[in-house]
Amino acid sequence: MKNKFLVMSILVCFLSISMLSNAQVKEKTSVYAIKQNNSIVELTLTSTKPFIIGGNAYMLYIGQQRFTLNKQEIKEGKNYITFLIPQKDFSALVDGTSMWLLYGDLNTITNGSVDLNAFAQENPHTCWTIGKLKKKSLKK
Amino acid sequence: MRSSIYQFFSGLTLLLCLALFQFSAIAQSTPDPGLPGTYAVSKDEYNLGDLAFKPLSFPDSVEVRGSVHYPTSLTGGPFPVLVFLHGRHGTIFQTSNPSNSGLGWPPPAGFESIKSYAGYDTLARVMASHGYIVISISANAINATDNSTGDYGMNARGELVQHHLDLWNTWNTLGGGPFGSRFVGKLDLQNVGTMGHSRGGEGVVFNAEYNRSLGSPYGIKAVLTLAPVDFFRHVLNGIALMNIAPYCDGDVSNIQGVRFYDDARYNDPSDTTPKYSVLMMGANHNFYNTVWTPGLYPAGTADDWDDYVGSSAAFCGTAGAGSKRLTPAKQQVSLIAYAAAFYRQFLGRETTYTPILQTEDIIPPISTRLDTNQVFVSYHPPLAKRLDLNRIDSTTRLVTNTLGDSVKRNGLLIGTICGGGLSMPSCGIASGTSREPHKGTSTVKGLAQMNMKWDNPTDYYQNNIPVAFQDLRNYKYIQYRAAVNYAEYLGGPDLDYSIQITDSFGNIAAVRVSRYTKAMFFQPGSTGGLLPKIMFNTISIPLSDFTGINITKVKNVRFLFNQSAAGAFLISDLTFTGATDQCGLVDSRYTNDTTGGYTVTFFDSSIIHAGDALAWGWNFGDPASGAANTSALQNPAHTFSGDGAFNACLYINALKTNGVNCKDTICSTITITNQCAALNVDYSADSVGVFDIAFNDSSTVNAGDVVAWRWNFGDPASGAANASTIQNPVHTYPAAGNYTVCLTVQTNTSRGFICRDTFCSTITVNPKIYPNGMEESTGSHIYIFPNPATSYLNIRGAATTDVLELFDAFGQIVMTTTIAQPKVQLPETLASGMYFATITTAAGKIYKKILINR
Repeated sequence: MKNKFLVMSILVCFLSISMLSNAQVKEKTSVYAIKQNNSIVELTLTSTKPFIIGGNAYMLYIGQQRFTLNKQEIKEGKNYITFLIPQKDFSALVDGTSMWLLYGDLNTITNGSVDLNAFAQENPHTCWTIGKLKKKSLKK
Repeated sequence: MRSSIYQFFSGLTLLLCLALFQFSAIAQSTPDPGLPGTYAVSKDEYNLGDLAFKPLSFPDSVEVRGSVHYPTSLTGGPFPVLVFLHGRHGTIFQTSNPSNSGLGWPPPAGFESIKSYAGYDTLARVMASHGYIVISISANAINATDNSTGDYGMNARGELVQHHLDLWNTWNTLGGGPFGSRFVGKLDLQNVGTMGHSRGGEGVVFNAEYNRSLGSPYGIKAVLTLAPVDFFRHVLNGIALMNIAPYCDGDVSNIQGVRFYDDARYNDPSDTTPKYSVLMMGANHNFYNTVWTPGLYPAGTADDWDDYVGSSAAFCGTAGAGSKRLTPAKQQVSLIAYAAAFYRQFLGRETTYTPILQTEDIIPPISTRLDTNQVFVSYHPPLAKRLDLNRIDSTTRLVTNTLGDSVKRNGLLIGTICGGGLSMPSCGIASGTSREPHKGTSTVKGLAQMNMKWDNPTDYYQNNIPVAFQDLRNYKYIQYRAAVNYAEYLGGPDLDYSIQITDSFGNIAAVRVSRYTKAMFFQPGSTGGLLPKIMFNTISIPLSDFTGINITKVKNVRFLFNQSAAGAFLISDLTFTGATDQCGLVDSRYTNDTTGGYTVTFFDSSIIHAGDALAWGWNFGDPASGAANTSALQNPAHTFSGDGAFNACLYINALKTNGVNCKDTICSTITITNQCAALNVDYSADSVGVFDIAFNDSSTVNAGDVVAWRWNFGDPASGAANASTIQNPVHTYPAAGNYTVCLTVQTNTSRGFICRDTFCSTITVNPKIYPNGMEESTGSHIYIFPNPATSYLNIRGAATTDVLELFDAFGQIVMTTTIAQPKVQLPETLASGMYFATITTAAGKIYKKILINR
């Protein structure tokens, strides 16, 4: 009886810790690399949660500038999304500008129409804050 | 105790009676469209290669692969055709480790393709059992790289669907391909429906436009967009449209496909086709496709809501408070019932299911196992079948309605028109579109809505009707779309109010809306940015229920807020529907054949009542062609004056036996690019026996085009031998005489364009006369021509080891050669005259007389 109780207690504790740790894992999306590829700058993001391979579109906002062309890939179990930014557009970006990743309809937000900080707070399942652009990370 | 039991059962009986009464007004005995039909069904697959097709609009080559479900016996027919296109999803997985899945194309070694196209097999099987041929195609290559193209692969999807239709057109006419002659004559490609899921939804809209731009070679009559994206806001008119919107879509979470419905409503007044939108509460994005559903396929599956949003979310999460998520099986049968009703009406011409589609019967089909509060249909009839009281399409409709009379409001806390986007003010409900899918922005068009809030039973919203339109005998329903405004009505029971009609004599009749709909619910869920969400649903109320009203003198319609003490909701599309005009069935339609280059043949396919006298008027939109620009023929051919897009219109005039004259018009764009210019059909004929004529195709075609030949030797008495499909046939005529011989050549160009041309000429067959004393073999299958010859002989039917010997009139051998090639050069030293050819074959010797004419 005592043993049974002990096993039950261990199971309950294990379950609780497991649930707690799941709850505490917060999704984090960050810049993985910025590379020059001829006239295109490839800005690659990675995330602790797999990027969706689905119908809606991923959009990268750097300030109010939107970039949509991208490619998704999974390498060695990690998943990446690489946005393709024309060199001249990248050059025009201001270093330190805030970045957001959106998953949604191309018509959701048009340039300059929404406060993206507020939008990200109101739409935590479709908009993620990435941090600030560090142009010195660009590898040529 | 007995008394209390009695009271309990009495109460229960009363409740049941009340419930029955409650829905007696809306319950119909509509048959269930989702049940299987009577045909036994077979399924086959075809795979022409991972890189078999190169769309013009896409950087990569793509696969040509799909499945076909069809009535096993294929007796009868031709059968209507459905084409399904899946959406964006993982494309490959590692065979030895299915959890390793992702994007890429073609599958590398050790990986295989995810068969997304197989995910609609259940629907395909049911439709095939009703006599449809259902094709579901793979689009993995597009999915692998479409995010790096500016149009997200939408044009390529349209091209891919068209390419499959072109292939099936060939297999339906000439046969060949993977199915041989099995499907020849079995597909009715003028009666086609398409369905696209997710990005495939916008893909089939692009396909319908692409098909139209090619001159509508296929008759696409119904387009179903299933949880689609609508990135580019293309508006599809002229084709019946159904959108299915899952409330718990965790992927396309703003269920943007409803815009296909919203945008098409008033876009084209000549559009004679209806629009439908079906909201399925508790449905997610992926469960419509079994290959995307966890537990039903080994790789790449997801419960999009649980995995992308969270299982603990209220209503939509499977572990959330008050979860109402549909099981995969329920989603499948729900899709089947509503899709089948749609296709069976517009392809099968079955009117049995009309009450479900037109919101006259809001009880879900039994096969769906859904309740009345789980599925809602919106219906927008064509203009001829409705009378718009107030479209609520601009802010001016606050004071003047679409019929030109006044609009009045009393006591409303809010009474504005909003949400239409562009210059129209926002309704101010949510920041994104996921909680407000109909919404427009300052740069994007949306759905204009009348936003109302009340807190007093005397509050109302009223539309007056001008005298010219007060006779409503021709209409059956008053109808509008509505949704609760959750930002103003913060939760509680379903809203209720009255619709009140007043006639010119002062008679008033009112009905409670809750008797007719479950659509006035407070939208469930509270997930940040996603739920609750506003979706408009149609509410239809029979005019016959407004008892005591003189229906020929209806003066106004009032929304009287005297039921729920307070509430807020949004409405649009206030109209009278169910018009029973005698011309309702008359529908002008045509198809055309652009395979003749600049000359297009038009075929009238209009629908009229039996016994109607029909007259046709064509305008080909080509004024440069002068008088030839118009025609009164039923099926005219018109030679266009040059390349370009031409708006070709058919005007029909159906005179009914009772004198009513029904007119209808259809116009569509004919795009002329003479890709068939290179095709020039010609042939030559040579006498090679007594009555044997060898025909030689000398047509010119573009290099690389796939070519097919069809001969008619003008000799019907020869039965089946009168036709041939080989390039250079020989035909034996029964006697001397003149015969008209026709050669039709068809080419399938590399763009999938089909060119066809025919050349006919009259040949004279004379029996060949040979000099005395020379015997010729008869009945052999070796032919020598031309005869007379000049410098060479063509010898057909000989083996490469056979030997030719040529004797002159004196019996001297003048030439000996092995027939290594069919063409044998004659020595220049041979003089004109009669020669005797001996061909030594394995079976013996054959003799032929040859005249050399230098």
